[in-house]
Amino acid sequence: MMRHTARFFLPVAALCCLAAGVFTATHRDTGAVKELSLPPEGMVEIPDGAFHMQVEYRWREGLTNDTLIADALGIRYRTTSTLHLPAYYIDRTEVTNRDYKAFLDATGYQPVWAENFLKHWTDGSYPSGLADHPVVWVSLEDARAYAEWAGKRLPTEAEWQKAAQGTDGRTWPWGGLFDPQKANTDSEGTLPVGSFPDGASPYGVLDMAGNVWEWTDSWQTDGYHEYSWLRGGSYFHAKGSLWYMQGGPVAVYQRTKFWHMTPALNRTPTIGFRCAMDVS
Amino acid sequence: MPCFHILLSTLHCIKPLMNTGIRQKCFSVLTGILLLSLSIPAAAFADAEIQYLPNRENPRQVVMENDHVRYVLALDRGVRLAELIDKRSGIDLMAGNDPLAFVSVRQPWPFNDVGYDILTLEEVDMEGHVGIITRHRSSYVENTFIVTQQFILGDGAELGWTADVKNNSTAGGNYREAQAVEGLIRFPLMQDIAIGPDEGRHYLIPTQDRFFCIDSPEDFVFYFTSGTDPKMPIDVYSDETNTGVYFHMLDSVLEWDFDNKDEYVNHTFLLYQEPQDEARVMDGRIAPHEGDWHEAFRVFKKYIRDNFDFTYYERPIQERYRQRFVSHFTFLYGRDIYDFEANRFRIDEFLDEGEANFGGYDYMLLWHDYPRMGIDDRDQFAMYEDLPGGLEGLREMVERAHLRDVQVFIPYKPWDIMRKGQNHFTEEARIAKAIGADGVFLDTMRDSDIAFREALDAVNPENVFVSEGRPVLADAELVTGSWNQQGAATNKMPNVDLFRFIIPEHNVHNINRSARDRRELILNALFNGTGFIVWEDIFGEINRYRWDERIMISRYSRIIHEHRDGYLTDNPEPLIPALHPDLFVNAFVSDEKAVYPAYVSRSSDASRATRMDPRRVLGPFMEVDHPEDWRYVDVWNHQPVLSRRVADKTQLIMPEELAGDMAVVVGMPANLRVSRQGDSLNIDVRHSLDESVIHINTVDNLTMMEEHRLELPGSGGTILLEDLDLDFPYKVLVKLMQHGVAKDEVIVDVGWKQFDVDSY
Repeated sequence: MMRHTARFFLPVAALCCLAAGVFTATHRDTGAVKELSLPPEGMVEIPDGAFHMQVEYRWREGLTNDTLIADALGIRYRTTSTLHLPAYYIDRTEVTNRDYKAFLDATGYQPVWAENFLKHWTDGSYPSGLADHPVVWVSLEDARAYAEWAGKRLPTEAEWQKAAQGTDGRTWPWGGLFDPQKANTDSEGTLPVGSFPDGASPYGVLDMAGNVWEWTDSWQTDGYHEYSWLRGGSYFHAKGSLWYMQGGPVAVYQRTKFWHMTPALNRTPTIGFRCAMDVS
Repeated sequence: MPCFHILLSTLHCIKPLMNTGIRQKCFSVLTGILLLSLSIPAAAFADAEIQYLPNRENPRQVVMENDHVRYVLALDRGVRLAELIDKRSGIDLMAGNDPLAFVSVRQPWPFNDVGYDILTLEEVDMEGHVGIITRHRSSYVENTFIVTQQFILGDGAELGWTADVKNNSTAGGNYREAQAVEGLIRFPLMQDIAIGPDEGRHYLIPTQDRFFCIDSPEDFVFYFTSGTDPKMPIDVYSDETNTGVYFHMLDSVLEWDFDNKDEYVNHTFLLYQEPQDEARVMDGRIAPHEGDWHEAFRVFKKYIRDNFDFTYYERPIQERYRQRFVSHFTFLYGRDIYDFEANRFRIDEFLDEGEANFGGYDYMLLWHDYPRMGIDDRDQFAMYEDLPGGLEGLREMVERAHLRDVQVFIPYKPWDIMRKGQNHFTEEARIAKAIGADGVFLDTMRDSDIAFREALDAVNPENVFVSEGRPVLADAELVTGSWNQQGAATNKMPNVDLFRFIIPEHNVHNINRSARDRRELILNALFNGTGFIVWEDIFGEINRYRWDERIMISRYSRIIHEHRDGYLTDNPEPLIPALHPDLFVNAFVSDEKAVYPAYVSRSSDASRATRMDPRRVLGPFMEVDHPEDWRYVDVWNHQPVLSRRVADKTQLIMPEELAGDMAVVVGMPANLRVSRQGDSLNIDVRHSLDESVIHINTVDNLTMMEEHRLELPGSGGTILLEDLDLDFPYKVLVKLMQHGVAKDEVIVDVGWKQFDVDSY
């Protein structure tokens, strides 16, 4: 009898919690104390809870028998794990040129190696019309510097994926089937962030597929190399060879290994970022 | 591009005497033959001569003969070879054999298996060549095959032979429609000929695509370029009679690919033909020879080299490139080359580490793009510009490498086509010029384009192509170096790289990126005199070489460099005879150097049969033919090799059983005189050499690596043993060096081991 009760009541309780969270967020957004408004402006709260995380690798990594990505069973293409993620906030959209300029203006940030830093900018500012486009030509370090200034941090891969996927294991932020109308993929360049409201994730996070690849807080070294995992895919799709780094639409559970080397190559016109922060 | 059509197909003077039509069974060509025979000169066999027996009116046999050979062709159920006399020895290679059909074609029901009758016989005569063209049916039945064969003899020992098969099925007779037919083809002469007793008869046969073996691929294989290149001769020879016959097959629509000699002997080829289809099942040459398969190899090699354009091998850059053996595949994303903190390529430290780990690199291949390329629109050429310091930074790095005599190659990716309308060739040439590259690596390719060569030549002809794939012969004319990553072939000893022996001007580099055990791959490079590529960072996947592999590569590198004057001979010979059945020896002999890499097989028939310890090589092991004053040393094991004259040969003697599977025996004119007096060594030189020095090295007792101790002027001097810091095995290597090449070496054992040639 107890078991039946638990089976019935647990999902109900979970639903109530979710509803409460939504209500609370709504309430806070319209609260009187602006400085304490939560979630912070432009961010979305991802609730505390277990996350069953399945990760698949860009197929080139699988083909090269990369020993670094074998899971406990020796399966090289996929890992699965169940994580407990405390509640966190994540930016609803990618950080824009406008945002990044505010950071530069406030801090005078100068990277140690400036090659290709904001290569598309001139005279310390972004080209007109690109204010709301995601900032690109920034390295992982440049992204971290921004996040630190903003009182935030980069999302972990798990945080990124949960924000994009929800908890139902879907393939795309909006559902199970790819829809080119819901993401900026295979196009000529970036689009203003939030251009695809229909492509929102279950939590309302935008542009989690396409527009720009996103740095995650996943820098690693194997003693020989430095690398981190990119998520989300970008607008750019190199065509003509299967040897290219994979372009085109990239599913939310797919990770792509990015080999860091010289800063001029670590900055690209196709990688941007968004930030996260703890709920505490 | 040279054409591989053989002489036979270019004969322009075929004289058909009479085409009698296929339904005509009797020989009604006699008048014509009579007419033609009158024009044959009566001289002895300066040119080939043809005869019909018993007479021209009713020929049962055709005799084709010159100073070297006598072929008797029996016109009996097809064309059979009845006699094959090698006039040098007087031996009839067909003795003990029934007359054997050159080819038999039958349909899959049990009729006569070599055809019924000769339909036509025409004679061919051209500038000293004589021959016949025959046509016969394959069986009694209607709608059968027509087999047309041509046999030509010139002034050499080779009989040219072509065989064409045509499905001559037509409507009518018992059939309403022409029939598609499946033919069962055998070559009884090639497959059934018995040379000598069954024991000791061997077969050189193709096995798998590009591979050849003797009897079976179990023991070892030869590997060549590609199945599209001329086929290796098939050879049947006898150890007992020391004779054989080769069949140099130039072309055939059939699949020549056997698991072993039994399969070769028993094989039936299948040929499916629609009505009126015609196929050349054989275009080849036959000749008797003395000895084993080597004569077939020489014929094969000569044929290939006669048809090969060496233009791009005659450039001075190629001669320098050939002397570069050890290469490094440099994935630029790793810490071994890139300094993340300083954002620079640590070229000097990297080369230092290469010397410490592998004995140094002769050249390095910079790898900057894959698998990163494609994340944005920077293509392979644009990505160079963003490496540390841009093209100028790369040029400085290349100059640093050049200061240490290390060449730098850059890769080219034909598949990188994201930017439309770009001229890849001029772009690659621009990069090569800007950074001073010494060569272009052709990724995923096994050929190149003359336009690419011209684009590079326009900015800097001083660079070479090296391809990832193994080029076919025609492509190897332009691509003068290539990787050999046929792991199944290269990773096994004592497999022989025939391409290396046929076009020694081409620079082959052994590499097997996924192998975890490269020991045989290294020995294979030492054995075949090929280069070796060190590649530990496979696009981010680390595949470290083991400590013992590093030692082996260092030892290999020293040997192949110091003895490159032998290894780079124009006339290397594969698998020369040895006195030990399990010993496989290649020969690289030039005027003043003979290099004999030798390998003791653990799996040969001989060792299995005798149940002896197959590794036991001790005492006399080979005979050579060099001047009497040459000295021989095993530079792999640092062992003096004794020698003595036997008849007019020099017999080489291994004084101590080989410690491992490998030896590299080097012969050089004895120029050094080393004598021990108490605790010192006096070193004299008989003939001083320009710009020479004498190296005094010792041997590390654990690694067998040489350790440099002292250097004396090329004229000699005296050294004290106590200065050498000797330890077991107490060996002192006295080496006369000139421009990095060893001209003589004396190995002095100052321990307790002494070997005396007289004890053998």
